[in-house]
Amino acid sequence: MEEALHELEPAEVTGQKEDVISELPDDMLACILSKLNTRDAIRTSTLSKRWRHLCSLLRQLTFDHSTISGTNPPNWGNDSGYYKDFEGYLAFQELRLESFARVDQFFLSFKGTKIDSLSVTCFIDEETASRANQLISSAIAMGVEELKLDLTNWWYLGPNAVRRCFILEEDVYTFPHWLFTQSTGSSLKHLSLRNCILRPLAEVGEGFSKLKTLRLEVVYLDQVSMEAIFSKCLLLEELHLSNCKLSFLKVDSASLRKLMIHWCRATKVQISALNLIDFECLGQPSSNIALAT
Amino acid sequence: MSITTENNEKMITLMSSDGEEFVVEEAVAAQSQTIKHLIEDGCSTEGSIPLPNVTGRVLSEVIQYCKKHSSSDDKEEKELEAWDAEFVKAADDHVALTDLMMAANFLDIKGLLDLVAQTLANMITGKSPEEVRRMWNIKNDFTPEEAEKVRKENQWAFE
Repeated sequence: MEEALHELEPAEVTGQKEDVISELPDDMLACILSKLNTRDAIRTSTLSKRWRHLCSLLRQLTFDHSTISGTNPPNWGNDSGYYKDFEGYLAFQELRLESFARVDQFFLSFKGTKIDSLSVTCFIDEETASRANQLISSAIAMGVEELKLDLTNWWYLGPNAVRRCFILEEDVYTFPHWLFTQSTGSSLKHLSLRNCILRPLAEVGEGFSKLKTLRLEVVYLDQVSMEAIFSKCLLLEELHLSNCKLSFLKVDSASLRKLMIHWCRATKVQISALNLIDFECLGQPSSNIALAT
Repeated sequence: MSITTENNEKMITLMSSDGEEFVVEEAVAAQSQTIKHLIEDGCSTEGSIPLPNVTGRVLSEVIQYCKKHSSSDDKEEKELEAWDAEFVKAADDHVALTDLMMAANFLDIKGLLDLVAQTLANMITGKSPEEVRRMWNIKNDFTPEEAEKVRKENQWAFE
């Protein structure tokens, strides 16, 4: 069934009679779709047969809470962790249960062969975690260069609430770094992870060898993982560590140019980075930082 | 129009598909990567550069854009954004935005291509598929069964 017609805008009344937009070549239409959020882009697939598969030409895919749910986060929760009303609470629960299924569903009908970036912010649980891994596998196969994941398994209480709430480590999603091997994952240049476990990394091969930027926020790490990152990522230029609990942080990289350490509460930070030009550290007594020159 | 400017800027003549000639400073014309390469290859030395895919009306809009963007520096970003918004609104009255987009693509002017694509995208945002069809006269050639199948594929996007 079609939606009811609302008021027409002036351009629609006076506009041209011919369908000139559909005559644009595929790459031009894909260029227009790339400026839309994923939800609006998907909706164009029902316009006509011409538009049916244009979404598969998209090379930058973003799924966040508002794309997936169609509403803005303030409608179902807020930063202080309370729901505005009962409807907000219900909407949140519904979204929690099926948010990953929606992303999954998109990829079932996605016919693209190459993507540049994939960004997914949504809820997962034990059941959907393996499907999230499959999704990452497909993204790797499509040569993804930029990957951004924020897969929360439990309460989402707003962007800053994670620090405040109690999360059991066994409920946290483990990033499947083992899927990145020399033959499959070496096109990855930018990786951004939030709310996940990234370890043990010791056995990681060359899958991250092209990595230039790494952003880790509320990521469970250990010293072995960090050492693996510095020894395997020889092109790494930018490292952001935010709210990653580490007792001892040893940064050892000749390629690193930008380093940000926010609220990691390490008792000792040792930095050896010859080419570092930008360094920012918050929530860390400077007496704990040793800078090797 | 004279052939050199006060600061001795080299002038380039561009010829549209319908034979209209435009004399512009080289820096303005070089906003287009396509023209820039043609100039580098020496195509501008003998008369005008023919642009067989761009009509005079569209080219005149494109040149306005290039003039503004070759004379502004990065510091004026905010002002430039406001100018862009006004420009694309005015251009919409004179030429089809789809023609402008094709010209920006052919001439390889990334800023203009993005601007027009974003403008067309903004026209889709928040509209139902039926509203979009009305706006652009897109004929729905799906059978009801086919339409239902497409919707089912990503049902959540239509809720």
